[in-house]
Amino acid sequence: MAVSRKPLDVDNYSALDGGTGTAIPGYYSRVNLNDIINNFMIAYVGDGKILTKLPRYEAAFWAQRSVQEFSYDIFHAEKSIEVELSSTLQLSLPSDYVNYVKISYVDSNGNHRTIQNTKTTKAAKGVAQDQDFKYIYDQEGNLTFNEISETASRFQESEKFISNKDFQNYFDGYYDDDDLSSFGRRYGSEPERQNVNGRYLLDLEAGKIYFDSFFSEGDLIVIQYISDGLGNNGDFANVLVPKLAEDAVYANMLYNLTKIRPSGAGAAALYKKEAAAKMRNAKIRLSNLKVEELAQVLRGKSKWIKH
Amino acid sequence: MVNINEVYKIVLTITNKDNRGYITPEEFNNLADQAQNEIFEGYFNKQVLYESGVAIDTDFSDPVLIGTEKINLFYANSSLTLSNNSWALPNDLYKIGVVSVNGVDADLASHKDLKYINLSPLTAPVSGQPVYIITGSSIKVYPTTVTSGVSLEYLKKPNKPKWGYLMPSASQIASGVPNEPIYDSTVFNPSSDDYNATAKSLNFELHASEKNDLVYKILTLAGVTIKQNDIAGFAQSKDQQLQTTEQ
Repeated sequence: MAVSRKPLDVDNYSALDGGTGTAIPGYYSRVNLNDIINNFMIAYVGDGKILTKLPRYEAAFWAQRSVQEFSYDIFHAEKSIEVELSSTLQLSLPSDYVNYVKISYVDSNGNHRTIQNTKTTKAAKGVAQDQDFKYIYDQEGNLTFNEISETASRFQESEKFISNKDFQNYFDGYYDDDDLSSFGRRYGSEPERQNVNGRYLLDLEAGKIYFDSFFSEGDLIVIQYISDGLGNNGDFANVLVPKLAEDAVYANMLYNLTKIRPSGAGAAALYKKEAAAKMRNAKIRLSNLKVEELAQVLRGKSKWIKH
Repeated sequence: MVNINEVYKIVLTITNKDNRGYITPEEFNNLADQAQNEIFEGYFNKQVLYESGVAIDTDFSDPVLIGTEKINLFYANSSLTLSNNSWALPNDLYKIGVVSVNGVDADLASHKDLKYINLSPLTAPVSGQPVYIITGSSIKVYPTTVTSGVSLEYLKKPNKPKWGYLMPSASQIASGVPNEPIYDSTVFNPSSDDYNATAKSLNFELHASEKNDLVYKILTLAGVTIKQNDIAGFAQSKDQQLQTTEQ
């Protein structure tokens, strides 16, 4: 049920603020998909409107498609999970993973240190072979594969010139003459590799991330990723859309629903423009640019850049 | 609601003029039922006609609104019960309106569409997005995990009207009361009382504004029954006149 009619009563504040509300704090900045679908049905569908008849499941389909598309580049609604690494130095991708934004580990000060994706190797499926190097098939005649490829295995076992995080903390990520491993390696090196934050290998087919030997059991890994926003679409009340993009979602639904109907095709071009404009607006709104914060950043412009 | 005794009196007045004939209560009741059903079923065609025509939305004269008002006299709702994976529809159902699952409207889907709806991860029915199909005198609700909370808002069939009567007693006849059926205004209960019994009456359930139409339609049918073409012709012309006025 929509809550926007009564936002300031005790039922809408959490126990933290002395309220009795069960809604998640900050809920009001978002609107759930049920409300969006219901609003759309009442405002855009009916006698004398461009959509005279529309089953709710069709509206729900386009509402979900909108959420999916918007999740990729408009909502900026990256998800983030913190996971403790096991001795296998592997992590499974989140169940609603679509793409990653950043993978990092948490250092002793709680800072996220970005882990770079390895570029010198790629994930591969290791075909199971017998001692005569012949492929091994299962009882149904299908080719079998090793649980972990030799590529990933060797990647994880490879020795790194920095072997422990104490070293990293001491030098704070900078090279020092005491670090003999850096001898002769400064010239021609790649800046993206000039850090001590380890590397990972992403295997999308296996749905796993392998970490190299820089890491050890118990390290905290943070995966920031984008989803399609529908990880919990079994209950639309849990699929949330920022209110700053609500109108863009309606416009996108309207355009998609009219373009496939002969009766609405004439207006589709207009709705397409409207949807595109509202998506742009939503993107700008959600880019979250604040004048004060921007001013602080721009003040750095006056600093001398020392060489 | 239209009082059945008033309609019967008018019909008798017109048909009895010049001793053309007499319509018995049993004949009248059958004709009344037929007339009521004709008018009731005509609502839905008229509604489509009104909605596609010129919009008149002045107070009290919006044909769509008036039609809606007449139809909604037959609004009913019922909680459905699950049996063998189906939800039985009420016996007095005329048209299905809204099927709700725990307060959420369910969509009607065709049997063919349902297969695709179930296959798509974005349209697969969930408790917040239920779908139903009609299977004979019952419906099937999806997701099939729903086991309670299904309710139906629907239009019920109009009950058969009944002009009930009592015959005068011997003492009443002796005191000068004519030996003719006397109208019994006791309310007839269609679900418990017997239509074959002569006592108790049930008014027409149509909107009060349908009184004239009822009279004309019954007269048309009665004219055929008593073989009086002039009555049937008169009633038909009055009925057409009325229909034209309503449009």
